[in-house]
Amino acid sequence: MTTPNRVAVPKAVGVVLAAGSGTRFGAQQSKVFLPLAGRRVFTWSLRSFAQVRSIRRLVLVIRDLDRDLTMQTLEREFDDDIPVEVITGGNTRHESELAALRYLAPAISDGSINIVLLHDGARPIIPPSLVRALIKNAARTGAVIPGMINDDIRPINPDGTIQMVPAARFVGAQTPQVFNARAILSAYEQAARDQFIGTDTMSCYQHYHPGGGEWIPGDPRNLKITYPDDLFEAERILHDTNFHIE
Amino acid sequence: MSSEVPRATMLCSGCHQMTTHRFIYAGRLLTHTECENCGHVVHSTYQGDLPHEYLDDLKQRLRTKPRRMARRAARHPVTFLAALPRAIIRQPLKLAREWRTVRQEKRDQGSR
Repeated sequence: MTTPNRVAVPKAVGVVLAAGSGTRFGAQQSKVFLPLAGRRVFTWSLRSFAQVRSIRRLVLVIRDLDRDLTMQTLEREFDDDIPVEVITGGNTRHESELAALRYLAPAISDGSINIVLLHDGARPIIPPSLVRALIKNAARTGAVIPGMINDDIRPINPDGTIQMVPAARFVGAQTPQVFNARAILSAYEQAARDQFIGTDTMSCYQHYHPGGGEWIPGDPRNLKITYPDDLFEAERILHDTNFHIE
Repeated sequence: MSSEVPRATMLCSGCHQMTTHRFIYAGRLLTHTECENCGHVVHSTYQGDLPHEYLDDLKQRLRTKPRRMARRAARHPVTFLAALPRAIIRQPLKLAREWRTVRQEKRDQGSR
C-alpha cells in the first residue's frame, strides 16, 4: 500500500470503543459503564474529544445489549454540542474497529473525514492537549500513538524465567491511536480479506504500511482501568484537577 | 444513577484473576471494591477523611444541581416534569443511604 498523503486541514472523528470483549452475565456490566466521579467511565473521554475543535464527529461503539443504558447515560451526562453516533461493535476490539471504520467509510471516501482517532473507552482521562498533538502529528505522518517510556518491562521466556535485555527500550502504548483515515480504512479492509488480526490498531496499520507509525509522549494520567485500584486512581486524578482535564 | 451495587469483571489485585467485583459508592465517591472470588477489598485512598470528602463532594453536587436540572428540563420538559415528583421523594432516602455507607466505611476503618 502507498504511504498516506499529508493532511492539510485535519477533519477528525473520535471513535470510543466501549463494546468490550469480557464475558458478562447476570447483573454485571462492562467496566466502561461503571460510575467514576459522577459520570460513567466512557463519557469522560467523549467529553475530552468534544473539546477539540478539529474533531467533527464522535462515534461510540457498544454492544447491543448496552444500548438502552448507553442512550440514558448520554442523555444525562453528555451535553456538548457535537452529537454522539452510537453503533454496534463486534466480539473483539479488532471487529469493533472495523465496524466503526466501515460505518465511517462514506465520509472517508468523500473527504469530509480525513483523520481517525481510535480510543479505548476504559481510558477515561485523555487531556485534550494530547489529543490535539496527536492529530497534528498524524496529519503529517499518517499514524501516531501516545506512549510512555517504560524501561522496567522485561520479556518472559517460554519456561517462565525473565530475560534481561539491558539495552532495550520499550514504550507502553496508550490510546487514542490516530491515523490517516483512508490509510487505516484500507488497512482494515485488507486485513479482513487476509483474516489478519493485529495486537492493536497500530500493528494492523504497520502490517500494511511497513515503516509507518510514530509515537509521541503520552500522559501518565491516561491510565487504563484494569484493576479496581485504577478506578480509585482515576477518581483521585479527576478530583485533583477539579474534574477538568487539560 | 442507579442505587443498585454495580458489578463488573476486572483483574483482581488479590487473586490476579479476571473476576466479578462489587463497587460500593457513597454518592459520587467510590468507597471500596470487593472481589467476589477471593474477597479482596480495595479501599479508597482518602479513607482517613471520607466523611469530610463526602460532604465536600455533596456541596459541589448541590451547587451544580440547578444547572443540571435546568438543562434536562430544557431538553425534555415533559419527561422531566413527569419524573420530578418521584425524584423529589427519593432524594432524602438516597442521601440517607449514602451517609449510612460513609458511616459504615468509617466504622470498618476503625476496626481494621
